[in-house]
Amino acid sequence: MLIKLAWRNIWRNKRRTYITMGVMFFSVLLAILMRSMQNGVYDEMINNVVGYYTGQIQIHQKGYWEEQTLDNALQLNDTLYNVLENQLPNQYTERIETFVLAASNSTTKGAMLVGVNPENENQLTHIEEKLIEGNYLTPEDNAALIGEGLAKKLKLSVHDTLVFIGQGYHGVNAAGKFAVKGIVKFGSPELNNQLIYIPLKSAQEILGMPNLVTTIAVFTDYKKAEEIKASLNTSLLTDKYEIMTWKEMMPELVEMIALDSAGGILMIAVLYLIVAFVFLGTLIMMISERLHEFGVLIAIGMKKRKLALMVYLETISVALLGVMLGVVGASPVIAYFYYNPIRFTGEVAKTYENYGFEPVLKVSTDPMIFINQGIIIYILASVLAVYPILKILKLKAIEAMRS
Amino acid sequence: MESKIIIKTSELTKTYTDVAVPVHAVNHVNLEITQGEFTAIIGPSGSGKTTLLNLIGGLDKPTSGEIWVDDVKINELSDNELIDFRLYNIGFVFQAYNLIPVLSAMENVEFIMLLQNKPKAERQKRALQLLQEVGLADRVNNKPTELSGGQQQRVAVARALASKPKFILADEPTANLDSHSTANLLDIMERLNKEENSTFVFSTHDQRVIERARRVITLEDGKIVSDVQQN
Repeated sequence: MLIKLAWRNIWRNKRRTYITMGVMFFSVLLAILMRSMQNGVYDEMINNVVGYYTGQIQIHQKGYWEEQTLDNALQLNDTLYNVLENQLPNQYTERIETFVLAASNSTTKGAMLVGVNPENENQLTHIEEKLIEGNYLTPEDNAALIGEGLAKKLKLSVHDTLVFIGQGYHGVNAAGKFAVKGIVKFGSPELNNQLIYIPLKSAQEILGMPNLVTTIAVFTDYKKAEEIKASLNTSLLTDKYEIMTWKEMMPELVEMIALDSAGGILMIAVLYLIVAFVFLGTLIMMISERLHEFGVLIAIGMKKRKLALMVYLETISVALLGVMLGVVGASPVIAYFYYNPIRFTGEVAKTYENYGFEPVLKVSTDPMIFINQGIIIYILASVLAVYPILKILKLKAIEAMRS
Repeated sequence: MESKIIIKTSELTKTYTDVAVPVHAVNHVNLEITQGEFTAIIGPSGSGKTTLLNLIGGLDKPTSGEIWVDDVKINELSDNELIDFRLYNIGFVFQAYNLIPVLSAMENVEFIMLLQNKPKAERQKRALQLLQEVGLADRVNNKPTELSGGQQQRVAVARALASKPKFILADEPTANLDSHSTANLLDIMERLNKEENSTFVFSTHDQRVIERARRVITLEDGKIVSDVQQN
């Protein structure tokens, strides 16, 4: 009957309950929408930045990340391939990354030479889609793909010859001559101005490092990176390999997201602060209206803690009803924006496109966003419910009945 | 057979000091009430009737003196012990009825037994029986707002009796009732007093109530100035 009584009490003053629930509803709706959009932006940012080239996880020879030289290359072996094939089939690609001096007939420029497994690399980073001229590589090609910016600097076009010179494994001289098979346009100016892709086999030959690579890049869901890292750590020798997640490789991106996220959280906190004041106002009003009734209930023998429990149930029920309505109300809105993302136009769209990102504002459908709002409101209501509870516990029946 | 004393006060005093001049609302009152009494406490406004009832009912603490209910010295009980004590020993009828507005007549009567953790079947049986006794068998599902003042007060009497208390304290129970409802309520209380040997102690100004009481205690300035048995 206590629950029945609490439930009926909620509906005694329907207008007040509707207003309180309405405030909860709109704040939860707004908070979910804000958070979903913000997280959607972060998802896109991480997927674009990390998924574009780096990968969510990289495996190196131990010490490579600290000193990124070919001498710290990783020996490919069956054990490593077995682990990768078992745990991450079709999700990894091998690379050799080094800096060289690239030259054409007319000029020279520092460039980043990347030896790749053309099929795997394309499957995971979709380089072929970035081709603006020429064709994509095959593993047997003695040819190169170069970034659009680099091509312009070196004044190279498809079928022209690219020459580069650099240092190979353990200091050997490395030089190569490749036909430009294609020109790719990367969103990132950094990559666009210095990247040269050649088949991995060719890179290994030129650099004198057969069966060696500098990096194995793994492409997976960025949210599972830590879990996969832990699993790889148990399968691979941790004193031989270093397994790094995108967070470890790109701390500046993590910091930027954390900073931006803090701003969003602050806005939501302000929103909830307003909700808290409205809710507290409702509670104060409810307590003062029902003080006499509480006095009577204590007078006839209702224990204060039971009375406090009843009022707590009322408070929490109103809050949770508001949250539920907010979540239910937010779901179709989020679903709409998920299937119909906001599309940027004009300069903003161009900036996005220049960086190779789709110019859309997607929303995140992560259920944790919904759950978190429920938890926040529950905690908020629980904290605010302390006020009527304390008031009841201190109540003197006789004084309350006189009110 | 001699009736058992169920309420006893000894040098009971309640002084309000939070005013400019201390007020002795109840001043050295010595009183004994036995099982089955139908007692009215009368007196002018400010004479201390309500304060005395509140002290006897364990709703207020005396400044000095003792209050015994059966063998329990209730002025020494803590707030929480008093709540429990009231639940099992005292029934209350208030001037303003004070029913729970969101509960039906039946649920209001049941509520007190719910607080006593009585099983549902027992609660419902007794609540229905009491509502029949106060003539409201046909209004069990009505909420207080759907009942007249007299009917609400009858529900309040049923609620007060529901916990099988040692006595019932009624503070001006007829103050808000018309003459017909007053007569009806008094009939019911008198009948319950006689048939079930329930003890009623009420404060009142109402001459109609005073005439029906079998004992009339008159208070003035917090002191008992007369204590009369009536036929």
